[in-house]
Amino acid sequence: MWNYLGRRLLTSLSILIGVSVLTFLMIHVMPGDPVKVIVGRLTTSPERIEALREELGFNDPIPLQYLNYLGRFVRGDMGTSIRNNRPVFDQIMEQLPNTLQLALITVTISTIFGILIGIFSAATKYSLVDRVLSFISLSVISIPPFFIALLLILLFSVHLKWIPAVAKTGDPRGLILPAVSLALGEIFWLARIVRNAVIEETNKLYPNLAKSKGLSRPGILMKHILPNVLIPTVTAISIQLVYILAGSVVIESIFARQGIGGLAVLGIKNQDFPLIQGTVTVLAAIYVVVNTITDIFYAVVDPRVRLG
Amino acid sequence: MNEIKRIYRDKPNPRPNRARQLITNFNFVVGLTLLSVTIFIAVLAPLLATDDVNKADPRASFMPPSANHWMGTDKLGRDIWSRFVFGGRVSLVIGLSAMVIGMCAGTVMGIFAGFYGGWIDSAISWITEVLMAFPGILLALTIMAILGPGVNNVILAVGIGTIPQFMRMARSAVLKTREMDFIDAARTIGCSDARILFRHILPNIIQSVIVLATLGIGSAILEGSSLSYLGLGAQPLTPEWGSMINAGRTFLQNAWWVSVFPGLGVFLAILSINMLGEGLSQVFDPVNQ
Amino acid sequence: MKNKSALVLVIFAFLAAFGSVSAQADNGTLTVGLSVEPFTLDPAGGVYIPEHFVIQHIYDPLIFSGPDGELYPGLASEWSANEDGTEFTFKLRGDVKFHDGTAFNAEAVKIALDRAQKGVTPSSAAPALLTAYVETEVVDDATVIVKFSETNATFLQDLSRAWLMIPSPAAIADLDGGKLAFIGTGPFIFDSWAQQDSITLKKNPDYNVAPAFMAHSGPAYLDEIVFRILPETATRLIALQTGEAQIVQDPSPVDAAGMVDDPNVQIFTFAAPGVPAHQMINTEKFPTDDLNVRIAMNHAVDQEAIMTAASLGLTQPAFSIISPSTWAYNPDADNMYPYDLEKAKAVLEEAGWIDSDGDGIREKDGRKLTIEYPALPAYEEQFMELLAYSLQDAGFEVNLTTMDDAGISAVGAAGDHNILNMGWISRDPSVLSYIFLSSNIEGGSAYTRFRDARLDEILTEAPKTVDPEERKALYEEAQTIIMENALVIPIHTYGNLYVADAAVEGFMFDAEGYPLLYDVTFAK
Repeated sequence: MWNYLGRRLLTSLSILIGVSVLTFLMIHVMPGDPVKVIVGRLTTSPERIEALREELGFNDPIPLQYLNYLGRFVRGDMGTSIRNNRPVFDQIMEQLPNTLQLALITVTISTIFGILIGIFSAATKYSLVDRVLSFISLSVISIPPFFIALLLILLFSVHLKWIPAVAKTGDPRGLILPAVSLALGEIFWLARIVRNAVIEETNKLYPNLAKSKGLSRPGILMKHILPNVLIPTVTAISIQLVYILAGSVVIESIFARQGIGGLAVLGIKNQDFPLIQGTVTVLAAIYVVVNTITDIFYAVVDPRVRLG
Repeated sequence: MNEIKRIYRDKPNPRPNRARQLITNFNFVVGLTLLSVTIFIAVLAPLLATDDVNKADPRASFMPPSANHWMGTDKLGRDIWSRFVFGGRVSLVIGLSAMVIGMCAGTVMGIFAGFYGGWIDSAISWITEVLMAFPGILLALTIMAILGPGVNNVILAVGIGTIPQFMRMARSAVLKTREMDFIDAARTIGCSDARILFRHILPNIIQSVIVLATLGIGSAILEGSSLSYLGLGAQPLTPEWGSMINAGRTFLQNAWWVSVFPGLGVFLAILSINMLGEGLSQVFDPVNQ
Repeated sequence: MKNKSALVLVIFAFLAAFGSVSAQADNGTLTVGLSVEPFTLDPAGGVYIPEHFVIQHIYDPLIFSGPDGELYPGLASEWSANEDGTEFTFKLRGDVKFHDGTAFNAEAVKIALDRAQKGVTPSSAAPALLTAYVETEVVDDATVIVKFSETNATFLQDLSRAWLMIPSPAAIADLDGGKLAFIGTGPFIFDSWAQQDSITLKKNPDYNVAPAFMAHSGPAYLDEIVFRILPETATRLIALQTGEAQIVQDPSPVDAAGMVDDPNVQIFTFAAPGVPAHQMINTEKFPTDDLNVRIAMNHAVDQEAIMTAASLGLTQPAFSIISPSTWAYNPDADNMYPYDLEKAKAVLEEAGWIDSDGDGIREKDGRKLTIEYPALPAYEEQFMELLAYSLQDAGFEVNLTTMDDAGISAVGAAGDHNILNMGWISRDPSVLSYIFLSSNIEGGSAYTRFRDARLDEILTEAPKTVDPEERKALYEEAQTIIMENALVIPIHTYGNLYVADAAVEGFMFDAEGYPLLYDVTFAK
């Protein structure tokens, strides 16, 4: 077990290093002079450009620049935004809770409804209800989340005027539309996974044995099927959490919500490299951490995994 | 974002007796029909369009759908139906080209990783792991931040994002194939590595790769239109569904048709591919037996 | 199934109940919907337009510039300049306190200007205003002398800009560390900033710096201003309609035009002075190196029609390099090339540009009449397509490519554009130097790449000319040179557009079109 744990953590660390190399190289592989990119269209003297180049460390050899960058990053210093002079770390820490709040609510909604619908579908498998549900799921997961968001705003904010498209800070109603926009697709995606997993388990031999032992149908579901459905479901939810974090990039922009996704888009629009590097690295790091935890969870639940 | 690759569970094992099941499968048939219609519209766009996509007539701005303008007009008075059919073309080209890039690069990487093993395998696997650490649209966004906006860059950005899935599939397929007898045989008769790779291994996995690519077009279209929606994709004079939705969102309140029709386009294109995939897996996946 | 629909009904009823809770503002709080979030509220760190509006409610300038364009005392009660315009002496008010309780004095001015000259980030706008700055000499607690190495004829005007407003010296260390320490002397005190969400200011009860052009003096009427960051145009307007905001910036012109007759809202527009939004034509790149091509482009563009379509008449078209409300505007240079498509075609034919292969694009000597047009949607979205279509109608091929700021500046610096958008809000035409002085071709913003000895001479001499009549004559000549050479295609004056609830009273624009909320109250 410890052996596996060690290997798994080492892999995660190496991926994190890869992520940092990629984000670091970003400004260097861009066409054009990085300092001019930063300055944009402002009228600047050549001397000032040169001074900035020195100040921002662009005169050092690239490997040294990377080590400096990494060293600062590890200490939690992600640099300061070149547009507003604020430490990137502070900005991310301010915005991350909002994104996590949105992501957790979305995952909660999608987990509850996803599992319920999935089990319901599996229980009624191949019936008309199941078919209709599966058609609805396919349709819903085919709608781009940003389009769902627009339609929800059109319906609930513009026409019905029930929910403000933008709510005051701290108004819980502000969470409803973004969470629903993100959750809809995820509910049906999860429902499909759960449905298939439950059917797969049901098809296996032992429930028949259980039935022959005289257990009731709900009994079979609770005792034998659900535990085995746990692994695919947890995988699905962990994948979802990360996709929702990434999906928040678009959704937060639409709803003008605070969050790390909106911050990343802002960074890209303003060519604010420290900000892009910080937000992208943090999102990628969350992904790696969630993945690592999920893998370790498997290893605990299913010892066979450790061998792989 | 990549619903397809997530839904799709197992690579199909085509067996001849499945053809009948396929043509009676609701999802497969509807999906195939929708996809054919989409492709038909995109290919025949010049014939279907009723107007020049760039003919502006500000006096006729925001006309609701009517006999003259089937999908209404946008802010500049351009005919949305005509832009819709040409826009589908651009969106499909983005989806297809991105998948082709991802498929070629990913498959080649996967074959090399699987065939040579050792440090090559570790290096390639590490690169794809790093790429996968940027979930969903984030990788494409990061690449767009470097390359700047434009259709070609969207294709590249989305394409790079699809590399890992092909690489992984090709790698595991090669690992299975590598140990087979006929590879050993080829080796003993003195075939070069290149010959073994491309004459013996590639044909064995090409089918699964193409299926994966087809099913991935939906998510590629979605990702491409998301980038255009954020204003990073197609150029203003080029109609594209994502940027059409984007251009119309300001006027949602007064002129819903500007955004909603291209939105339906994206929806139907993705739905068709999702249904096709569902149909295939219903027929081939053992879970549904 | 029955249960399910009942549940849905309950949810909807719940939402409806929530939704009907009136979002009316209480009397003292004004919520303003901003379209762009400020980068910072640190005057010396400000980047461009979005900040000005917020900064000027927290800080005061040494000198105010009234809506009439005149100068009014601010933190400085009197001022004078030496003869060659290189030294400026200011008498400072002794009865003003910063929001942190420390006294405003000469040292604060010196620290502020020294800092502004360096700028806080590479993108700060302040250093461009203080290029020949030498130092600020503190004579005594209430007197400073600001010294320049060459004549600065616009310094007094520039002092009223947000970038040169005076922050509390006690807050400088925090500002440099990126903290949200925005402490000034202004009518409102910075309270909080939730990034991507809102900025809250509270009334300064001790305010006593209000300039004479305001309707009242003493503290502001409003207790609180909340600037909500609402980048989506559609949601911004919805916020106004639902009462979440009482004033919103930049509604979509279509929506605003539809509201003109609505008794519940009022619309405020402002035509800004300065260099209007225009396309700078590259005079070194084929085919716009040909004067005839540049003239034809000007004749082909119908600014009136484009702006009517783009903004439904809420933004004024422009026909010269300086807008009429700017000081030293020259009416003779205005509308030299009225819209005339046939004339545009004739000019091209005469110059040898013929469409010989019938593809709708003219050629000359085997080369196509192709225009490279890199555009920045943030500023050009309204008109870029219509502009491209206008040129196409005259037989041009237009390659319209949208880019971000950095992409545009890279193309512009390399001279790979044929036309490129530019504009500069300013009361004084001195900004023409930035965009037409040939020494700004490399590394600057002179994207016409036009080299003319006389124009250079004017643009170098005018900022150093203290006599107003002489200066005016120089700038009038500059406008004529620019338009006679058809260096630009004027598009529109910068118009600021605000929609406000009908209850908002006392709304006014400053000289550059940024709202002043100091006099604002709500009608009972």
